[in-house]
Amino acid sequence: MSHKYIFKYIIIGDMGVGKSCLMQRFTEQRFRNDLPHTIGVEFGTITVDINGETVKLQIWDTAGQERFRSVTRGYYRGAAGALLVYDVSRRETFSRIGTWLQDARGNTNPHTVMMLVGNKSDLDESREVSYEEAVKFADENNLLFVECSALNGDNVEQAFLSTAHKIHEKVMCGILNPGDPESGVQLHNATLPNAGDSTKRERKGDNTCPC
Amino acid sequence: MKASSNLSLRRRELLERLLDLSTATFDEQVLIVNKLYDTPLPTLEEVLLQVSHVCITHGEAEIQDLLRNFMLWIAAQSFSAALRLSWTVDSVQKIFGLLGLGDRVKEIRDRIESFAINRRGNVRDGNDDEVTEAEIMRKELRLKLYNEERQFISIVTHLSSQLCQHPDKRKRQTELKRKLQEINNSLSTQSIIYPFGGVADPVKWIVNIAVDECVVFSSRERAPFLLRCEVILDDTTSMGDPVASKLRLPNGSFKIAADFDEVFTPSYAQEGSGDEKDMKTDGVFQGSDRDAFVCAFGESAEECVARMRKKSVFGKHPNWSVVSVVVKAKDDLRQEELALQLIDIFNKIWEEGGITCSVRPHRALSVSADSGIMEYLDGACSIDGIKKLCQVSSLAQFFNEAFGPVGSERHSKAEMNFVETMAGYSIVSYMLQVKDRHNGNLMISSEGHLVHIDFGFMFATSPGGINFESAPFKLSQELMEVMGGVGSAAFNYFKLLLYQGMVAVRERADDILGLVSLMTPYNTMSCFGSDPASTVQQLRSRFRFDLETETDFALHVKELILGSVDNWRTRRYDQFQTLQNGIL
Repeated sequence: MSHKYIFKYIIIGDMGVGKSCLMQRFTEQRFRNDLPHTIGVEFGTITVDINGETVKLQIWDTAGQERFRSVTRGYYRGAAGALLVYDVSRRETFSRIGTWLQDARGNTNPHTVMMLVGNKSDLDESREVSYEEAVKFADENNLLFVECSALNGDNVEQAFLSTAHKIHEKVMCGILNPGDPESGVQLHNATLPNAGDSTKRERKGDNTCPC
Repeated sequence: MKASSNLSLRRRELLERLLDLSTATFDEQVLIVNKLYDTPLPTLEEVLLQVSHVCITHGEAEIQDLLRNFMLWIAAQSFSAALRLSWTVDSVQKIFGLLGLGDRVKEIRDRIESFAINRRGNVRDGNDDEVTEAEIMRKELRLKLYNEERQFISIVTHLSSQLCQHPDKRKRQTELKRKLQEINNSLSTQSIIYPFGGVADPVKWIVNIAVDECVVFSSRERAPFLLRCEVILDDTTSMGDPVASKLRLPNGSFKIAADFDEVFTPSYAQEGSGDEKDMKTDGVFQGSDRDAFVCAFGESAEECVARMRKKSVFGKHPNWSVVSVVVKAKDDLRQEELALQLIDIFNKIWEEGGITCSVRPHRALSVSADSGIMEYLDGACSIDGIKKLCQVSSLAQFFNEAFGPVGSERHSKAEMNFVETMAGYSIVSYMLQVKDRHNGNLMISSEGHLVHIDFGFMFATSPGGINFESAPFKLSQELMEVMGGVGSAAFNYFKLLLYQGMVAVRERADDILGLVSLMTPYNTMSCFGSDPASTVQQLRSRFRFDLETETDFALHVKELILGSVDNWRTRRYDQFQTLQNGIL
């Protein structure tokens, strides 16, 4: 019924790559062609099932415009997941992913799960970034990767859910601690954790986790 | 007077529109929904239970979409309304899931949150430059407040549930304090507010739990507890958008005052230095009065707050104050919430009519299917508790000992308060058919007011499923004695107030009927019984619209009184409660 965890997300990338459409497609199951430019940040949320546990994803869609960069950077802190979005039909948006990645790594905690997202896969005829090239970049930088289309919905859920699964794994291993505000993970129906519980969880993590 | 009359007119208007939705044509419904946006926010907040119920349950799909958008618009206008809507949805989600509306409710729940954080609909069209950095950063503060407020409420209600596992009362109390101290340890960095209040109210930031003042109440199956919290009152903003505060800084610390930059520093050096209770003798009280009074009510609210302030590390802040709530788990508070809303409306009707008949409004908040919080009635004790604590054999004896001899100024004032609230709750009990009126559910305030609590059985439901308490309202011999018995001036005053109060309520019957009938679709509350339409019809019949003259109505009220005075079923029910549950 009620969610057990909250996972916080940020979506970053150049202006016009489709960040807001991605969020809206995922949280509201619809696409709007006429979305205005995001001013600062926009918030969306949806509750999903991850390995039998209910998780609420709280997502910050950030403005890609340069003039909002300094204020939106403040939202990176405390994100458990980060989606770095580029437009497959505009090479310059992919070229600047390195800058976005550097920004993200510098402002999030070391265990934030990051995914490279190539949006607008429906524009295959206008493609300027190949799948192979992006996979290579993702592998080199230890990022998850998916191509999707906010327009027709292809792989949008996967972008968020595979990231959420990875976050969930890290919570189970104790790598991401819900008690730490910087982790971007929060327990909702918190039975107050005491020292014994923490120790127990850590021990269990050591014994069973393949990470 | 003018302001409150205006508000009641807007409430009437809103209720009529909501009711009209079920009978209007499609095009008319569209117009009605559009007109809903003209309603003042305080009116929407007052009727939020009904608004949310209509928005969730309306049958026409396209209109339901419009109503859902309206509900989300409310969440964008008022942060406190958004919180309440989110808790309302948490409370009804399971029920509506069983009734086939689960998907609708889930979607609403997620979007209430995003509308509350984004405050969509408030953003000005066009010029992006008008959006300041501060406004952008407020979204993060709003999410922090939303998450931490809901987590805090979830933790304390869960704690009430956990305490049930300890059969021993002392163990419960020890465990309560231990857990509350743990919660306290992380409060300084958190954003938590006292959740009652609307766009017209200042924010009360919870900064500390006064652990030593928190008590688990005795109960067999449940462990409700009193939660007393220290707050900083913030009138630089409202519950409509708490993070717009000019008193609280983004890092959580407080300024001394909004006009100055000086930051308040809690005096942690004082922590742990519990001053001994100052038993200052107050010249106003006689010895015996003092004994009975203190026995029932303990220290006064002022004394309690003064003592707490001295001990508090936040106590030196000029806006420091205290709030108290009862936390309940394994208890469905939706019905309590409805009852207290209706009681508040009754009280407003009497105030607007200039009638001294009254009740003591307080609020409940259901936060899940089986938990919630209620405002605590400070300075009040149940009749049952009074008899046990003060070793008095009757309530009248207590009044004499606590408020002074009959005829003294204090006694007369207390008696007046008793009569006025006795009349108020008699009308409430009759109109809402409130049951289970034993002396554990009747409180006396330190000023003599009578206050009814616990509205678990009303309208169609009764304890054990048997409608044994069939008197119009409880008017036991004991309660009569406090008023001086039949023929006394106080009892005559009671009868007059009952008549005046009933007339006033009758004139505003549509408000009461509207509030109740709007909650009946899908029949999600047990108090409506198996046939909600019949329940509403019976409520309507209690207004006696068939009586055409004032004289006839006056005779009717007289008959209600005669049927209640020392009613034998009332007497038997009290005796049953004494034998079965030890309630005196």
